[in-house]
Amino acid sequence: MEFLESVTYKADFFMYFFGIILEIVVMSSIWTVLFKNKPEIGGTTLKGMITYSVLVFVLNSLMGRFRIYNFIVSKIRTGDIALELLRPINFQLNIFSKTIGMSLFQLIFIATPFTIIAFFSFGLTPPKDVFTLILFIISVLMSYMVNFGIFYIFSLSIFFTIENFGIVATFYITSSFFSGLIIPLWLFPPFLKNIALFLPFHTVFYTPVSIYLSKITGIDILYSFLLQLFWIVILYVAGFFLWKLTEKKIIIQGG
Amino acid sequence: METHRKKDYYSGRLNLLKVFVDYINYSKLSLKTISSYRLDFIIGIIGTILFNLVNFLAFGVFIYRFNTIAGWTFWELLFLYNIWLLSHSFYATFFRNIQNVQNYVASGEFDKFLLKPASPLAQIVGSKFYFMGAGDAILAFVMLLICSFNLKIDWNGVKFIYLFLTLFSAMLIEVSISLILSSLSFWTTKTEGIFYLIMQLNYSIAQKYPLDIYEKYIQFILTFVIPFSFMNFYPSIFILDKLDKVPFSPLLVFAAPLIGFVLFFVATLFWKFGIKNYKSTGS
Repeated sequence: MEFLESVTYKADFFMYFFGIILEIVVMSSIWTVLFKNKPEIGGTTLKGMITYSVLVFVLNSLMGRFRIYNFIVSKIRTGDIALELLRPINFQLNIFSKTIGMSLFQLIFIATPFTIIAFFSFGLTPPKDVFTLILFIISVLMSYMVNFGIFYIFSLSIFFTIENFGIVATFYITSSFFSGLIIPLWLFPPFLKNIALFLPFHTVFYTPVSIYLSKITGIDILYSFLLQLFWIVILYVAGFFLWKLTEKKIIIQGG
Repeated sequence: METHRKKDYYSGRLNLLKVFVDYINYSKLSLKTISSYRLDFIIGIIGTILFNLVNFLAFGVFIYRFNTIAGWTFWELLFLYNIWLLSHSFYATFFRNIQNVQNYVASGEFDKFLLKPASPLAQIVGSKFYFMGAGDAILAFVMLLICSFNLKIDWNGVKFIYLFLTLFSAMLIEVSISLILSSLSFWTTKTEGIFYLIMQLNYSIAQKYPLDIYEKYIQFILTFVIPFSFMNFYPSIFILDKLDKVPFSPLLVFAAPLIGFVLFFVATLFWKFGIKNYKSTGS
């Protein structure tokens, strides 16, 4: 269903595609300027940094953080959320499966062609070996679930507070910053890096792309997988109880 | 008298003074909404400020690692960003409804504005304010003060007048480009994509980083085709005495306080012909 919905909105497709291109142009310009006359910084070459930025922005389009938000909040706004009580299926899983539908569209029509084009035009760094690529894909699958958990909880909490775009935009950019979407964590000052590692956001973009670039290797990969799993479980459980609270509130208020 | 006024608007003539008076009348209504959503308003302003502070944090990390971005220091980057933000806040607060013209035209609601004896432009612009822009204005003003203190900017008379004119001109640049793009919706219904694309150019490329870090073709586009760089880059070059960094010609620095006015004149022509075309199609 959502797959079709995405196909219907051509403008959406165009915007996503162009949005990624602009972000990458900006970031690659910045890295090019900063790496001028420096072969590498923090153990990464210019090519590595551009690869990093391309991959995080492509992943960002796949995750569709605003899509999850819009989807849930429109249900709250219209009151359709009350109808969810009638469904025999778990609300969280229901939304999750719909999100996957939308992401598949992104994967086929945007992320894949874009990555292929970027590989040839920017000359991206390939992964060290096939094994690294497989680990990267596993990590992406888990980061997808972490991201869903974060935005599911954030969006549903709108039901208890107020809908305000100032808050939404701030949450979006804060999660972007601490997830390493703009700057990878290895360039952060130690103090900020510690904050970032304490929050779940970094497991969404920083972890998979660092595995791809072999910035995380050996036993540390296992450690970051466990951390991703930890956040998936925590966020799922938190989301589960938040939905229980929501149900209660809907019933008391009579929908 | 009344019929005379109506005739004026239907002929598609644009009397700016009249537009302004209508605009003030409409804005009084919009101002009343502020008191009815006070909590939303305050949270919105705090949110807007926090949003920008996260952007500053990103500058901080770049500077922590690399000292400068192409010779631009932390405070210079903040100056560039906030000069943009201050002029943008006027657009974002008072003129943002221009971007809804495409929706009004698509839904047929635009006819409603034509029926009233006030300029359609004033009605549209004045009918909705986005008060969250006040957060941008407050933050940008405070940050500019802090920046000019840290950068020890020598505010002589020339620079002060230059800044004042530039801020006004920068606001007009954004208003005009928005108005031109909105006018396109009188001819074609597919303007959403192009509107988004060009505004995104402004937010992603012009707002945050100095123009001289980009490749020549981007510099060219943002200077001569869609002149967003006159909102912050060229003015900052002048005020921060960085004329050695100016691309193309140093003369461009002096175009910054004027270009908004020229562009606004062009935009009103677009709007005028757009409305004429809209009415002649009889839709």
